[in-house]
Amino acid sequence: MNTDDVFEREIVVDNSMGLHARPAAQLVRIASGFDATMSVEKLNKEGEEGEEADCRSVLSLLMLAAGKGTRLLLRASGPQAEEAFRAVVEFFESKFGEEE
Amino acid sequence: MALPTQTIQAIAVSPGIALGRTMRVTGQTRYSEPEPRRISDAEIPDELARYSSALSLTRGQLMELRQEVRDKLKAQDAEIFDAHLLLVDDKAMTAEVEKGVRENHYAAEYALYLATEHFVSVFSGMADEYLRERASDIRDVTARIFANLTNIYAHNGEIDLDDRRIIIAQSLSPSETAKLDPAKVLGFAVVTGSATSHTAILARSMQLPALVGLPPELPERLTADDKLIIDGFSGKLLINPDARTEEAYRLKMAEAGQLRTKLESESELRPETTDGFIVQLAANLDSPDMVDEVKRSGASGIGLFRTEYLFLNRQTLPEEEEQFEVYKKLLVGCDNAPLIVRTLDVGGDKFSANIYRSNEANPFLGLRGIRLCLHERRDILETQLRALLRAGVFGTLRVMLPMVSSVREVIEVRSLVSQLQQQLENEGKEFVSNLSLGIMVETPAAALMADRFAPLVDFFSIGTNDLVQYTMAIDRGNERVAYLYRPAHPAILELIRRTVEAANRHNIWVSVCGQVAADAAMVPLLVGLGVHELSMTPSAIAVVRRVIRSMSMYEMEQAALTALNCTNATDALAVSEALLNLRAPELANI
Repeated sequence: MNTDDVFEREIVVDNSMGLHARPAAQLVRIASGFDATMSVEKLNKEGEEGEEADCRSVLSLLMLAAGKGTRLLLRASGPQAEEAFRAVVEFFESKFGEEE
Repeated sequence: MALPTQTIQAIAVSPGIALGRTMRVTGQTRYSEPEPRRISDAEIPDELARYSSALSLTRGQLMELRQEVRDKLKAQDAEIFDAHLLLVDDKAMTAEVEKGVRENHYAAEYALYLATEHFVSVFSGMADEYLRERASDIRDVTARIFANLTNIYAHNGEIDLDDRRIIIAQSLSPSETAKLDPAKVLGFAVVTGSATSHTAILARSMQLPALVGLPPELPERLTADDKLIIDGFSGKLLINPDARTEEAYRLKMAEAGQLRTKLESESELRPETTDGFIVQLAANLDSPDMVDEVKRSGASGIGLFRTEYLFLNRQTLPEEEEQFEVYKKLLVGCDNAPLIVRTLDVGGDKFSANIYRSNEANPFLGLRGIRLCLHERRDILETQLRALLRAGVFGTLRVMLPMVSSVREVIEVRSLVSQLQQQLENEGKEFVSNLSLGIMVETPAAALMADRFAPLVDFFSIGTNDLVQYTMAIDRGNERVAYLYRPAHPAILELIRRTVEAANRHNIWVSVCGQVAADAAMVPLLVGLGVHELSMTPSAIAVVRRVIRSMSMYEMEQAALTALNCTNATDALAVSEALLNLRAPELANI
């Protein structure tokens, strides 16, 4: 696996309360478990890029104020980028494990 | 450098004398803008190292706290510390602080301050209320790091924690006060606070002499070299007293110590007036761990068990079983002595987001106590009453409702109790069928309507702290009107008189469970007005017993009558003080 690969994908915050403190904290824990650099960037309606947050910082994640329906661009790089990327996408798709 | 000899007049909030050196506390939950100190290039590595050791100290303390909370309460309550731990290690925050140190050459404290203000302002400006509240988490964590940063200096030099000290601070929160180790602390003096603040109440129950109302600039000027005397009777703070003054205070302390030992040895004696009237002396309890202390004090029972501690500082509410076990254990511990449990009294200054989120302009005049329980959170009241009804079979239980202001509230609770009893019956559970139910008399409405309440209840308990606040129309926390907080005010005495009179007509009893029950100078007035029971912090019982045993009911009644007719609180109190000085002059210095 080439360690220079950058994984990128658009994901959507899909739970009713948005990316609040508990899922943000969980996201930090997931992201910290891998040797990878990960960020999410807030996209506006037109799909343009906006603020960026480090997935290992609760504060920067919370500062996105990403409510339900927010589109984010997830980016991962580094030796374990692929595994980290998959874990985070899964976490978003499970609606942070909060809703049925 | 030590300050010159001087005396500062402050306000005494907890009696006693303390003599020792200064220990300045900056406080863990607050911090203020530090000096924008600059450092040189060469100092940068050390400054960053200092910051990182403050972070690891903070991490250790939070993990310890989390463990403590897990052990004492429930695992989920510890979650809050998980969030705080993440903030300690937050990359964005650390990067911002490091930038301040490296690029702007700020000392770590100032860099941390700027970084915190930056994040706090972003969060405070957010539209989402939930996210706005995160600002306070950030401040909390920063305050801890801040205290550790400051203490790192302290550990390197001046402050020696081996001897006992007098704590000097801008202010102490109730949790900080509770954490003070009496083995290390002689007493404390702070700038902000009042006699009725929770901090002052805790100081009295820990028997630590305490003062409030220091000049705001004083704490910064005091150092570990300054020798202090706290006079918790006169409200004086003596800085670097001369040898003669110090000797005089040492003598006073020795005498007070002897008298206290003597009074405590009287715990078996009956609280009986010289003409043969018995006044029940009961204890107030905040946490079930204090039962042994209550027993040692010779209390006749527990006159007020506040249940808030079961509900606050946690994320989930206590379930029926958990509450049942607590009440049962207490009743068994009381060994058939009466236990009065007050149902949940939140609102006002006690507040928890998982119980009710309030945006009231005047929370003390809002949904508080029984109002909140009847209208917004009936489920909480139901669970609590069910647990109480079930636990009641293990001893002598009495239940009391807080913040009652209309008869309807009592009728509603009575009918709820009947429903719950029916439920328990259907479930085949054991419960008390004739629950002794009383009300707190802490609103003027309840006192004025006492004759209408009396047929519906089994007892009254007068909560003087709130009764004074609501009668005098003063905010207990507002320093500017603190001078109006006078329980001896004839208006208050009149409300107590009416309450007792109504109770006597309906053959029910009256207790006073507020602060004043522990105040030796107020006791003759309360007993003289006909109050049957005084309930107080256990440590005060010895003194109050001596007051009662040293005078007759007749002279206390006369004093109360005279006080009722005074035009102001000072004159009314003077009547009682004169009687106290005549009959129990030895109590003036304890």
